[in-house]
Amino acid sequence: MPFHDHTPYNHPLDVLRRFMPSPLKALVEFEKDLILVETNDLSFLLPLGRSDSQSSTAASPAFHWKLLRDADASGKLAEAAVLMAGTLLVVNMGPACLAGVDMERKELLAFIGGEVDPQEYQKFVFPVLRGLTQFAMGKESTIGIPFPNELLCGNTRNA
Amino acid sequence: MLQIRARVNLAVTKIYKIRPDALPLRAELSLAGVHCLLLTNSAELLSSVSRWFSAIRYPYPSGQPVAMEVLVDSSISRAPSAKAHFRGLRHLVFASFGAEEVFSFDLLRRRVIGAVSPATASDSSFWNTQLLPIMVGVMGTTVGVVPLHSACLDRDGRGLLIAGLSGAGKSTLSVALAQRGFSLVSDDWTYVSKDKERDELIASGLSVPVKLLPDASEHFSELKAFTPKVSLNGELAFEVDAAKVFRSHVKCISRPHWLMFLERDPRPGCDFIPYSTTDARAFYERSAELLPEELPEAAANRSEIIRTVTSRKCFRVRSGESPQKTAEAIDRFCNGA
Repeated sequence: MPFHDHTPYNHPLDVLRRFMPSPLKALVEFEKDLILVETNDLSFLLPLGRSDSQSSTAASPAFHWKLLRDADASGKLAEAAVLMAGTLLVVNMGPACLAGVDMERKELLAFIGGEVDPQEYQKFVFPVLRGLTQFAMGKESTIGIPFPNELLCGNTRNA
Repeated sequence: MLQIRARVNLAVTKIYKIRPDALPLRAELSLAGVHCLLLTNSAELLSSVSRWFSAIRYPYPSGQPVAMEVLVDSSISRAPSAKAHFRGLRHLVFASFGAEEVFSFDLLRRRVIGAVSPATASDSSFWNTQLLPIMVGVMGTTVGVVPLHSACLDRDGRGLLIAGLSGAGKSTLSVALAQRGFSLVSDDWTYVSKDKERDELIASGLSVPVKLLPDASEHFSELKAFTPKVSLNGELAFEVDAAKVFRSHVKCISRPHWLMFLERDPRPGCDFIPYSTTDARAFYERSAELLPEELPEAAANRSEIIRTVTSRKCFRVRSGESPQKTAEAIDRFCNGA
């Protein structure tokens, strides 16, 4: 079974791709909580742990991820720029990955381009999504994007 | 505003935090009936959008403004040839311009946030012909301002809305009508709202350049001095200032009176056929952007505006003539109607 369908989505009244089908749904364990993942690409589920089927039916998800493979978004991943304002977090890694987190509604919504392979997703995109979710769930007081080594901080430069 | 950098193998990660106290400059903008409260830290950005400073021309359909918070930061680079990239899920719409400049439109909270470079902040063309029209198109429905894919002309305060499928010739006809003395409100997207005090509809334009397909140069010699360019939606087109190039009279608003659905016909002549309200309504409903289930009120408001617009006098205009001859026929028709 292919991980995802590369057929371009083309609906004349949905140029923003809001209604792109996401037929795969899974309840997965995330930092001891359950999150509901809705996607059109099985490979996005691979870095996530499976939930125990009994606890899945009993508990409601603490967060909701909607991850869409966007075959029409071309280009490689660029450096991530995260914009925070109030209860909203937005991540721009170029057209290859555009995501937002609504902390109040406990939702993460993301488009991931066709050229991002599963390894790149696991190495570069998933840690960003995980860090944002941990922050949004109150598990971290800062956005703890778990990148190795250094964290250079501080520069305040206004226009 | 806090900026943190985390170095990784792939690239550097930048985090920009917008707090209200980081955006001390404020302005109220009036955009086709959308009341927008802009907060920023850049005087250059305010200067770029100064043409929209609120000179309250008519009542806003909704008392609630759209809040727009834009951080300008010198560490952000502008990608000069980057194409705009838009996506939306549920109540959020994202717009990126290159890898560093990004906007998010929150339709539930009527809030826009963005981070741009100083070069973009100073680029009035970017704000006036791209970002602000996009903002009105995306957020308008949530504050009672409905974008309709129609041109709008005005004669003596009476508005003529021209609908039609893409490629029907709305823009060329609009220019031809403007050359016959109609005032041009919009050649492509018209924003319709309800003036609740007077119980009337208002049709607004954004004074953006008219967009004409390359074959329009066959009908308008003024275009020979220009070269078509790739527009925001990827089409090759002339984008020109109608007031300068065609000496058209441009207006910001009108009151819808006639509604015409333009159809190209291979046969010569120009016919006006009454169009039923039901069919006219179905045309607009069928061509309206799908809205997420999170916005039932916006969808209901849009349907109500469409219902009211299509209660005007509606006609199908079948024309096999040039834009100028079609405009002449419409001119005569409106004078007699």
